[in-house]
Amino acid sequence: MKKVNLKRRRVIKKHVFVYGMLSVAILHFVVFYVYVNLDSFLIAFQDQHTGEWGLSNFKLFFNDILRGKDSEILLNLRNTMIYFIVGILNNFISFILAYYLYKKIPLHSVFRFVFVLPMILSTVALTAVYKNLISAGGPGAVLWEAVTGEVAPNFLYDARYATICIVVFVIWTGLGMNLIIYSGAMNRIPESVIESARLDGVNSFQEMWKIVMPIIAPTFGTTMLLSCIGCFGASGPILLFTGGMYGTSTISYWMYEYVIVNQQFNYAAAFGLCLSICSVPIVLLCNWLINRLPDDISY
Amino acid sequence: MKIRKKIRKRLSKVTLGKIVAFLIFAFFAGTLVYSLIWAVVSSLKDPVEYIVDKNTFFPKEWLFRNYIEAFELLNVKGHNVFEMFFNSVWLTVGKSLISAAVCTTTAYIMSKYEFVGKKIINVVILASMMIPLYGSQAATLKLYLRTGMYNSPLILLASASGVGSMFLILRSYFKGVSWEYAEAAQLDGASDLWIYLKVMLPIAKPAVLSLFMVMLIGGWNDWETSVYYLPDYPTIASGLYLYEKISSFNINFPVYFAGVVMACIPTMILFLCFQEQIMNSITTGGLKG
Repeated sequence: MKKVNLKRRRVIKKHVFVYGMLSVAILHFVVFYVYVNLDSFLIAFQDQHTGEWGLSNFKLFFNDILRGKDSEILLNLRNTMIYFIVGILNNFISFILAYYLYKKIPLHSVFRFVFVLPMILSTVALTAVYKNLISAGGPGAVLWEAVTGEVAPNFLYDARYATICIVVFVIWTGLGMNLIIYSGAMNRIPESVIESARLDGVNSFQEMWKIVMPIIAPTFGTTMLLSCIGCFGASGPILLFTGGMYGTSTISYWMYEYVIVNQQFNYAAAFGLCLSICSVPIVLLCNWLINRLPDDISY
Repeated sequence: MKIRKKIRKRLSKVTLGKIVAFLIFAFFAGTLVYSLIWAVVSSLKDPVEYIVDKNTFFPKEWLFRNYIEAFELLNVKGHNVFEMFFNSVWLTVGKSLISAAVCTTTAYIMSKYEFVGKKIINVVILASMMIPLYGSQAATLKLYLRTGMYNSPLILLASASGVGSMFLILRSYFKGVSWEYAEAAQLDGASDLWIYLKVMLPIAKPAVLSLFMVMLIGGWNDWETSVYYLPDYPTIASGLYLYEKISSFNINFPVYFAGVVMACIPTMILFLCFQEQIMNSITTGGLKG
């Protein structure tokens, strides 16, 4: 009798300890995730001005889309998809390039050091430098004039070039991150695996595609899945570059403007709800695709 | 004869892929390094000289006083650079400390204890990471406004999240730590809390510290929190953005670049001192989040 009681007390004590330790995280989750998202769901159905419940926010949203070419939302969607696709391509390219970094081409440690720099340095600082590099009289503009023979346009103040310029910036500062992650994953491959493949007469092309790539496919899959989950959130630092002007606005910039600047919470929440619903099939599709990648190879 | 053979052997290893990759790397790294040097040189020029010729790497005069001027000139709504640095420091350190503490604790409990409700918590963590929810920014700002977290140091509370990439990394780290140490301490009558603080944390210290370093860097470079939610607390990152926005065409570029360079110095020092740890953290989990 006494023994059972003692055991029970110990179990209770353990649970008190566990939940005590988790309390901050659980409280945070309840407030900043559960409450916030429930509230977000609710206010989506509340009119911005009258406070009445209904679908008025969604009507506004569909009316905007029906404007076709003039639609703000469709422009945002288009730009967001550009950043999303660039992100995916970036993943693929750095996946291949990482192999060469791993194979220790000349100067590889210098490259590795330089590629980490964009992650260490502040985005604001990098943006400031890049902006002025391509401004009139800057090295970027001078290069443009040398190549095309024409006066360089005001890249960031011209709807034809602004988005492209930000995309180039995103690649320029983002490629290194994936490169480092993938080549790091490759570095963890035991040397014996590569060596025994060499002994079997595998050439470097086969080594790249048949041995190294499948082994780090899980890392690749995770990165891809994460980009797919955040597909509607993909965006360059629009606020830092153009403040959404010259046709550069994306969904996340648009959200910023509606929420932080205009404080039109209800419309933004309704828009967010539509996006969340749209992204479910995308995430499921990505998950299905990624599950077809080789997984859990033991070596 | 021998040398020729050697060269041929070397050359046979050179493939088209390697050449292309090398050229891409060289271009990529070259432009990055060039831009950084360009920024430093620009910060030492005379404002008029900068506008006339942006491309010379040898200014007529190296104006180191631009850096002193930055402290007077870079002013955003009455907040000077000293204040911005101060805001950056408390925001970065506060956020990183709170986040690291909560993440480490959660990761430890979730990897080392079996308890009622663990399965549910694991499912919830996974679901919250897999299901994208957009538009919660509106409700978040509403919450901040209502609770007084908006425009107040209380915003730090928002970083007490237990999940994220740091949680995942530490959870798998703790899974690899043997429980035998704890059992030995238990025999001596140590409590669960004592085991966590005095046995497990010291073992995990290197892993936690290197993640903490990465958080510091991320926090220092974070400009969004300040721009979005702390209008009266500009950090050095958000301050530079606001300064450029406010002054638009009357901007003194060299002094502005001096600010840009100064904003990069702390993270650069941190990186140079703890290069190995930071690299390891980046390769396992990435920098953002």
